[in-house]
Amino acid sequence: MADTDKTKEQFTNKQEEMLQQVAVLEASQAKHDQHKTRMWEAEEYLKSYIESAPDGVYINDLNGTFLYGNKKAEEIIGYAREELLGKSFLKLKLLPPKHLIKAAKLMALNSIGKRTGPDEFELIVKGGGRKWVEITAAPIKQDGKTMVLGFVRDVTERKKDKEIEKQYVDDQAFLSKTATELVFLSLEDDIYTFIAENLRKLVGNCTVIVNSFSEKSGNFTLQSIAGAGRRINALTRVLGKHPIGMTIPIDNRVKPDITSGVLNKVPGGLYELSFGALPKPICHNIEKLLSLGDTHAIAFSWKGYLYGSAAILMHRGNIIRNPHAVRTFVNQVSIALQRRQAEQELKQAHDELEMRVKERTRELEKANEAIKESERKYRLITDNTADFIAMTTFEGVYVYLSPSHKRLGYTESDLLGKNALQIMHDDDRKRLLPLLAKYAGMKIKGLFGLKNESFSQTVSYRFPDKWGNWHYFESTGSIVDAIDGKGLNILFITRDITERKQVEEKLESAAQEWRITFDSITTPVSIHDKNFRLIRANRAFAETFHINLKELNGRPCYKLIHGTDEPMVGCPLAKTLATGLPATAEFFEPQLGIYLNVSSSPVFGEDSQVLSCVHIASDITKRKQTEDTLRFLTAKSERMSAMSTLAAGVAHELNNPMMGILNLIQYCLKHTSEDDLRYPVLQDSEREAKRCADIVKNLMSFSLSGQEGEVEYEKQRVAIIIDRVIKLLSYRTEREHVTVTCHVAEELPEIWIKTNAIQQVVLNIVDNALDALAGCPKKEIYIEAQPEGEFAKILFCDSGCGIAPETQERIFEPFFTTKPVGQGTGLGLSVSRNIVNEHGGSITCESTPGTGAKFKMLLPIHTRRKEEKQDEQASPGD
Amino acid sequence: MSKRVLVIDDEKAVQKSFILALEDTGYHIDTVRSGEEGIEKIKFDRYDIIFLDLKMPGLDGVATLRELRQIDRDVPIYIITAFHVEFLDKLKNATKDGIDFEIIDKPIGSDQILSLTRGVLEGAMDHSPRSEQNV
Repeated sequence: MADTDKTKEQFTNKQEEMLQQVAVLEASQAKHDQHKTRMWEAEEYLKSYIESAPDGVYINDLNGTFLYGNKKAEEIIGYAREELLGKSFLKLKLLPPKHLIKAAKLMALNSIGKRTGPDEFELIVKGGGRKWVEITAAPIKQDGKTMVLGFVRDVTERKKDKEIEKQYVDDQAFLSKTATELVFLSLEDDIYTFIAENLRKLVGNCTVIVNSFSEKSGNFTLQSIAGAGRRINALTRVLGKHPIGMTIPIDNRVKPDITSGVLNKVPGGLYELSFGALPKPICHNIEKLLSLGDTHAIAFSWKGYLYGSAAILMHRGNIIRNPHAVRTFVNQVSIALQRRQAEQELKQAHDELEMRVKERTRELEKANEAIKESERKYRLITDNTADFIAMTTFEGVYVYLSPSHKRLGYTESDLLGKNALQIMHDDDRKRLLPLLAKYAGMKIKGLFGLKNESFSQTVSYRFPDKWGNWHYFESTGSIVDAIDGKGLNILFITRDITERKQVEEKLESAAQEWRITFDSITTPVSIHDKNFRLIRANRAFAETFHINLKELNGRPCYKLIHGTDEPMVGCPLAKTLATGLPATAEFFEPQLGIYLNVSSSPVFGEDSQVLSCVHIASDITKRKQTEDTLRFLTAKSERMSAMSTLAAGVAHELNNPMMGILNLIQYCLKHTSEDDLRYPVLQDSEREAKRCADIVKNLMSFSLSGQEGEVEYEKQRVAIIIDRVIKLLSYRTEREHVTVTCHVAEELPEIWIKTNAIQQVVLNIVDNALDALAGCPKKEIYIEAQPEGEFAKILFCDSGCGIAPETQERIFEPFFTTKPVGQGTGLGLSVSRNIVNEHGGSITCESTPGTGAKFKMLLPIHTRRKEEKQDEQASPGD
Repeated sequence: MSKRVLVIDDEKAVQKSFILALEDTGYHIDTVRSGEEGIEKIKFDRYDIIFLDLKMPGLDGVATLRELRQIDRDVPIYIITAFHVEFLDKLKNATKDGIDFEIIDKPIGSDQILSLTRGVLEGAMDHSPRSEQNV
């Protein structure tokens, strides 16, 4: 640099010197004009001076045709004087086209007498070489013609230095600019395009191909091409279909050499390049590129790492302007690439982090949302639940209350901080205190980390609302973390069960009622399960079967009731359990000596299977007895009916022979003398025959009873009826030694009756009296008949044991009998009363035990309707 | 001309009872064993009293009664029966139809037969059959 400055100074001095000389020359010129003679001398001097001047001196006309050139000019331009003179600089193509206009302008100035210069021109010297020259030109007049005197100084060296300096400054500016740009180059920008474009600025008109290198695959990948222009087709031909996507494999062996840039010494046909060397596979490709121009290769490496390479294809003859700048740029790029890689890694790490953060955030948000949702749900539940939710301390002090407490009339402030135990019913507090103690025990355990041992219990108690009404509450408490997270609380979920309680009470009372009803049913009712076990039974059941319901011991009913090991044959329960249909049976239970009517009905479960059986066992012993009696009566009635028929037949059959016998005896009697011994015998025979006839007649009249529905009332004498009955029963009275006394008042008129029916009534009463007298020491029957107002009163008295007052009225009930089964029909007196009532009369019993029985029968003497009717019929006969 | 008595009864003992009871009366007594025979008899002979049984083979007593009354409206007919319940309705109807008869329950003795027959035939009607029955 110091040399350059020195040169510059020299140049400057020389220039000034020359200017002074020019001034001298100008003065001389003027002098020459004045002094021609002196001029020649001077001309000669000048000539020689010019000839040997250090600057080139030339003269040309305004057309540019050289008229003169000194030695130095020859030297500078490279052409010999003979080649120059008479030829225009245009013709000689001394100036490149870019200077032509400039030259023309200067010439124009010269032509009007103006001096120009010094101006720099690039000269194309002989052989095509270029030289920078500085030209100063002044117009001169010679022979009336204007010509141009030019001084040309070779400034190529100076220019070169200047150029270098300028280039240096430019490169510095460029490098600092690109460095800045590289620094601020964002990751999204294509750094390889950037490299390609800027490298091209450094190396001028060329094609730059930039590769990136992947450590992983060991491949160079073509990333960018700049300045290819029309060459892209040629490149494609060389590099393949798609130059941007091209990859060049690289041998790992040579990678260190690329990065160190010492490959130019590696043997094996490597190409020596401007900035280091590339291994053969790359060079092979580059070799292909060589056909396109001069190729230089650069590797971007930094601290042992290879980032990529650039291949620069230049026009032939072009040279790299400033290798230093290129190298610096490449270094910058390497650094930038490293930074970018670091950035990329950082970005990746950042992205990953960000992604993780996002993910985590999303998770958190989700969790948060879930928490919110759950909180919302809980809030919804606690706010809207019909239940009361409260949290208390282990002492029972409220720390939280759900809004539902408002329904009790309480606000939060009414209860918060208060002790629930103090509010509830006194009796319940006493009951619940031990429970709280239990919770307190749990709390202590909880403090030792045993919280997980959950403990919850349901309790019921009474709790007042704000208006003082008692509510039945049912609470479930469980140990939970306190709301503030410090310590433990008890969470109570409480339900108002007042209504349920009321319903329960109603149900209870209904159940009670049912139970009472069930128990008050006099029929034994029981419910049995499928295994014949008693589930339930009423009191009547327990009493009837002598079973203590509390000591069933799961024994089946047949064991309990019948004492058997399996159900009885025909057990309706067994039938129902087997068929699912109701069943009934009647049987005699020998253990209890009673008749039972048992009916069982199925109770179905949800699956339509028989779940249990309702078993109703009625004691039908009495009914059975009644039935027996009825059966007996029916049999008797049938028997009597048969007897009646038989008797009628017999009577009919007997009456005829009886009539024969009677008449035959009477005939004999008539023809027998009273003195004859046979006479009284015949009389006896006649009497016996008559007695037979009477017996038959009586038999007939009684056998006809019951068939007399159509028999009309008739007038009859009471005495006759009584007489007939006594006669009929005479065989019994005689056998049992009963004295029958009868007194019928004479004033008693005939009465309207159905003879046979009344006869049966009398028979009944007298028959009963005879029964009553059996076993009595005094056997007397007294019958009395007399008028009493409109009635005929007939009294039957016996000396029997009498009839108890409570039985007196019942004896007229159908089937009531005091006689052993089978002996009495129990119908006698009830039928008798019916008959008498039908007659418009009455029959009553008056008796005191010990004094015998007295039956009073009243029969109307006149029954007008009957009488009138009868009168009409009777009158013709009378 | 002696009074004529007709006994319609399938029982020989009954027929004989009447014959024996009335042997000294001088009445002419005819006995037949069925209603049909009785009807035949009354077509050709006049009788002063007829004793009629109810239950007989062939035509029963009531039917016979109705036939007899067709032929003779006035002859006193005494139904003598051992068992008249089954004929009660028929008898009632007969009464309603204005057919005249009396009923005497069997058995009756010779004195009753005698007094009854005599009473009817000789006009001594002091002893009605019904009142006799009621003694």
